[in-house]
Amino acid sequence: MSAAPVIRVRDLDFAYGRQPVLQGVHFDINALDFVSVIGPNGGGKSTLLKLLLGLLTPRRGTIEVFGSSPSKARLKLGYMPQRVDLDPRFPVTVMDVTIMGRLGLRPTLGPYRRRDREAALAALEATDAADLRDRPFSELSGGQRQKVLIARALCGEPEILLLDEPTASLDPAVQDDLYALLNRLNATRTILMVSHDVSMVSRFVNRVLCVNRTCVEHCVTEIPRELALLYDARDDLRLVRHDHDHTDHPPAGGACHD
Amino acid sequence: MIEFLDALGRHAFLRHALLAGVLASVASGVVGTYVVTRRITAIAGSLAHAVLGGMGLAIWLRTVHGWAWLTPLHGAVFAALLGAVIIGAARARGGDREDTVISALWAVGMAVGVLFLFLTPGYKADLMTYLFGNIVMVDPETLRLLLLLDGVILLVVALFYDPLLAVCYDEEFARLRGVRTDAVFTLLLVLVALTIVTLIYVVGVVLVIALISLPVSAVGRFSRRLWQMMVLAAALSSALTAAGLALAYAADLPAGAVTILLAALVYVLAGAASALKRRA
Repeated sequence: MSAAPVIRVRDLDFAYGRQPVLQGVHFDINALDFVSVIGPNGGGKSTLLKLLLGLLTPRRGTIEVFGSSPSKARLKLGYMPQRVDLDPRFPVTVMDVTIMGRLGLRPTLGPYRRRDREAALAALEATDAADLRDRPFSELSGGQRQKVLIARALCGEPEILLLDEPTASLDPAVQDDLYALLNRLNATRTILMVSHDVSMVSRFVNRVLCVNRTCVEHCVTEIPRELALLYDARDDLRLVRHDHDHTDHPPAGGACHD
Repeated sequence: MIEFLDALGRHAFLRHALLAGVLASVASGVVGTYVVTRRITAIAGSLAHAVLGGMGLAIWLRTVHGWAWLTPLHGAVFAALLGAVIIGAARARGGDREDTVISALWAVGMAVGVLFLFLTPGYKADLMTYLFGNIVMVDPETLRLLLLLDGVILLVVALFYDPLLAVCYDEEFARLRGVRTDAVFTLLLVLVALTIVTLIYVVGVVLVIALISLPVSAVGRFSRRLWQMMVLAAALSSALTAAGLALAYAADLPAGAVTILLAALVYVLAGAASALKRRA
């Protein structure tokens, strides 16, 4: 694997007006990492994703994605927003939504071509949602919508998937399916996923970044037996050790890979 | 009804009116679908009222300064496009200015129109025509311009259907896929502006909003995809303007107002039908 990180964040500060949201954030993401970004609500997780996408501009510090600015590298990123604000009355089918992921890969003028439709269908097949393609998007369940939005991110042929709470409000069985899917996708793509759960992460995740104004890399351990019983013996989960103090200057990533 | 068909055969002005109604309905069905789904009826209302300023200015220049080639329709197109670009730019700059700009354009357009019509001798009576429409005043030259506007609108929608859909549904995602969303949104506003111009003769400045939004909303519950909504709305709108014209002719009432009330009736009935269907 090449040594150059796919994402490099250095001394990043961000604030909404006078309200600091992120301070001194510093980390690298390497190719084919499966990173879980955890932290409390309002800690700055989604803000960090938007900075990586170039939707927000840092107040200080630098972000490099594939060695260039986030907005230049955009088309190499597949973004799945945490979306509750999509208009449920908008007349679109699952296929209409999915194929939007192809927008950057076709001329601005004219309709989507056969290649685009095939790529969208392949992405829906990859997320196990192909049979939904003609259904109105608004009629889908939460889990089905997450799968379609992941397919939309996938069909733009991204090298990195950025997912904002893909498992939010899903029941455990559907969460397991989704993690299995992400693990398959991780074979060829880097994945960076925001998660609302601060104590548990999927066993497929190889790195955990805890964002609460600052950003600290955490180690992941096997769940102790007593705890595993409490958590219904979910052997697919790993425990996050919040050993670090967020006031420390955090290490530049890789602290858990001895 | 037969009486109306008979009158249609005898009077060219009724045929022109009917044709103008259909041409305006095609534009409003297609573009109104974007206005309703993207929820920008306030912008459409603002552009409609701004159009009056352009018409007033054109009439003043034509009458007082002898610019005989300049018609009110030219002024309307100019003002609508200018308004679209102003709102598009205010929106691209962000902040809370957008809302202020929309309201200001609404009132300033009206004020400019009223002022220039006041300054133009012999034109005061026409204010009512522009505010509430007078479809029976449509002449062949206006019809040609309406046809041209329809052609432009349909061509642009055909070419930009997918980016327009993406920007209306999920603007942030569209931007991340490299779509120049501010430009596409301004293009949408230009389409809205041109559509409003086609509707001015049918229902007038004040009633435009209703004809843009009511037929689309009525068919919205029965459409699964955006283009279906466009086709159904254009068809319903054509039927409504034709029925409005026939009723107005029979009862000797203003066609614009009758058409809007018909549209409102159909909207309410469609809502009731949809509610009954859900309960059943």
